[in-house]
Amino acid sequence: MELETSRTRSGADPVSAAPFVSIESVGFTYPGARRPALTDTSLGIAKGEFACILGPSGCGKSTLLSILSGLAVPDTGRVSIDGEVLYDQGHAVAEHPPALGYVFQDPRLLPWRTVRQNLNLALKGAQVDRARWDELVDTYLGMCGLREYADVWPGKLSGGQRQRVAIARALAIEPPSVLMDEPFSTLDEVTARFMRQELLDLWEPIGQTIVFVTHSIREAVFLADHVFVMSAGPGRVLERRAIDIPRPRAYEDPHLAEIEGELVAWVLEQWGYHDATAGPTT
Amino acid sequence: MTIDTEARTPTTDGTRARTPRGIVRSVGTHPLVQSLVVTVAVWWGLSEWFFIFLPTPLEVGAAFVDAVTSAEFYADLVVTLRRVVLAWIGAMIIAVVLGIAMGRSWLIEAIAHPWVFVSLALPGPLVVLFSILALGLGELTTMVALLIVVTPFVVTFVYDATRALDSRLDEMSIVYQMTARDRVRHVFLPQMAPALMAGARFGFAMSWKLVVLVEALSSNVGIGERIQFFFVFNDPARVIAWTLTFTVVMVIVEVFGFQALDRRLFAWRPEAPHLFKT
Amino acid sequence: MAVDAVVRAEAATGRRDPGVLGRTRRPAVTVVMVGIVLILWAMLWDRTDFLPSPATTWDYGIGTLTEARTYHDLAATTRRLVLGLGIGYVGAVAVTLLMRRSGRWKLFFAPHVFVLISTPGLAMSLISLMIFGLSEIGIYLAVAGVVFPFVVVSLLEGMEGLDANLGEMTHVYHFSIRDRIRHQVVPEMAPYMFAAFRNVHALAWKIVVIAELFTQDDGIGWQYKRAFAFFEFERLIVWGGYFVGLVVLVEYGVLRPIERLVFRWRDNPPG
Repeated sequence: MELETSRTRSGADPVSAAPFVSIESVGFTYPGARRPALTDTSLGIAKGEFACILGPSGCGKSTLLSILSGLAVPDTGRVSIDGEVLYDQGHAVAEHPPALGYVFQDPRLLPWRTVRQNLNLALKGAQVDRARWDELVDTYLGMCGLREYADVWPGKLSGGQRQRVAIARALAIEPPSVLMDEPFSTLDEVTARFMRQELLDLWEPIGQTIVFVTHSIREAVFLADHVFVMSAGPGRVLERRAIDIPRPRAYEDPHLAEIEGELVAWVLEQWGYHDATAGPTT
Repeated sequence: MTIDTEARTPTTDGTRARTPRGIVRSVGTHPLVQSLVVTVAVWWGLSEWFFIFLPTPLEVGAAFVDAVTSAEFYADLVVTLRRVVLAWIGAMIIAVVLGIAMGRSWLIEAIAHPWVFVSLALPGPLVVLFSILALGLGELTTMVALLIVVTPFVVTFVYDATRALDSRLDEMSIVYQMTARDRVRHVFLPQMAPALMAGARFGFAMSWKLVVLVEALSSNVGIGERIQFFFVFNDPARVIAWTLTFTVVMVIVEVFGFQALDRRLFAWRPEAPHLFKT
Repeated sequence: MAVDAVVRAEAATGRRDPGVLGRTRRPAVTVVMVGIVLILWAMLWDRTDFLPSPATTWDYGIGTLTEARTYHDLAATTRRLVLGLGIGYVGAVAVTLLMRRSGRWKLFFAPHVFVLISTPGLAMSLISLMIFGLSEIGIYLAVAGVVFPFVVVSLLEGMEGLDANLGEMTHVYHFSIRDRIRHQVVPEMAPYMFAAFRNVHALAWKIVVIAELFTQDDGIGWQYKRAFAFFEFERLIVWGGYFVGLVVLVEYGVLRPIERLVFRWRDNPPG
């Protein structure tokens, strides 16, 4: 399968329509670092799309998320979400950055507050009306199968459960876009499989724009509408691949495996590994 | 610190009958009871046959009862306790302000660090004597000396805690756009709480022990002064008895104060092994 | 338990690498401050009725260096520290090993540890010296008594985390008892034993001085008593300096190098 301009689920061509999440020629260097984390990175993500950013360690994919989430200001380039410019050439422009859901690699729940309180604090930050909090917490915890744990401390939950709470938190604020930074990479394989499917089930009815960072090719191919492949550091976007397999997708689908295999071979070459017999880097 | 009585007591061997014999046996073989009995026995032996100047357990017991039934004791206790509490509160306030300031500003840390370091190395008597020379004998001297000695210790607790803050939770709170107030209340303070608690406990224990020295040198009332008085007038039984009252007060404060507070504040923590716990 | 405040003091020198700028600016601040203190002292000393002049203090200090009495006192205090600390430490290790063997022993000694740890240093000194007739042994045991419970608590807490896995490995690979002790137990316990020692070192010095102040006629503590009784401020300052100097000397001259040795296999060796 070659590079082709892609079509989103809605059928519109996202590259020509104004992208929902737009990153243009962004560069960023961590203070004190010798090499830039990102150089001249550009990508556009359409509204309601599930986009995966795929790259090896150190390629700057987490940095991209930090920039989108407001944790870092890019040195160069322009970033906008939903038409609103967030950063332009090193300046933060937007006064009130949009509310975002963010799922980190580790759950990052406040261990001294109950699950419900953790979600409430996020709702407060997103300036959601207090009257709606209980309803939202119940709904989204329910969707993640954790409603009965609402008043429990995170210390009492398993790793997978905590990560699900983190996901519920990201969704509960009902943001237009959700950022996810390798959220399943610390879980065991079985739990991770389950969570990937559950994530898609949560996403389908609502259809937020999701930016999902991963280093697993299989995961990216399974989840995404488009995969943005980044180069090894310093980062740029090498290519944007469409995954045209209709949903719902099965993890064991041979079609999926075919795309994965082909992507793996291409990626190995791009990232500088030349052993043709090496297996997937999942 | 109190003793964990639930672990490994020999009540699981099935002889835990409600008969008098069963009760005596389970009590008698309890390590704490044995400890007490052995200690008293050894003490008695030593005082009878080896050390003439060591008072017998009976003598000490009598002096102890004497003390806790006398009005003067409680008057002295109140004086001492008041000094400890005031100095301790003062130390906590200074230490929290200074410790947090040190955590945020390298300059403040650079300035404060040598002072803290030296104060930690100074012996108590030196501080007290110098305070007396500078400020004369009096309540102020007592309090100042206590403050100078205790505060640096608590400062190290607070400062260490500011260095150990988890930046990952900070990032999360930024991303979810929590207000500054919420961040202090829900992210910063709960992380500081354990160190503040440990500092408070340590500071209290230290003040409590130190006040004896400070009073002995600089005051004419208080438990510390009494102990020194009994020493000068060669009454070892009283010295030991009044010292034991210290232990009693410590237990009370620890169990009913700090451990109770600890349980409430840190109920969310997953169980960690404890040396001594209720 | 919060025994490590004393260690924290030493550790609170900030081991994060501050970069070249940080490395010079922190000592610079210290130097500037010492300078300011000295200048203030020189300017204001005669406004107070207790501070001596820097000049007379300095002269007095230099004078002490040539007096035999000085070294006698320093030696006395040091001797008492070494013996008291030694006895207390060894006793604590022995009791800790016993306490680790079973919960019964733990409960058996728990009250002693608790009572001793809540006893004020002065009380311990006075009691001990009354029992032993104001003799040297009284001081050794006073210091030992104060130090003992802290070392026990420190060791027990530290050793909670010891690795049972290594024990299994040495068993499976049929290590001899000697080898087990030499290559597994001792290196494992060494950091905790060292940390426990460090914790109480400064405290022990202070107890010696307290005991000397109240009951002896030589040693640093005695010098304080004398200075106070005769209003000799220079003596007080100078001997205060001797004390701090001794503690710092041992800390940096003896303990830090040993620490580096003991901890060198760790991932982030100190220093």
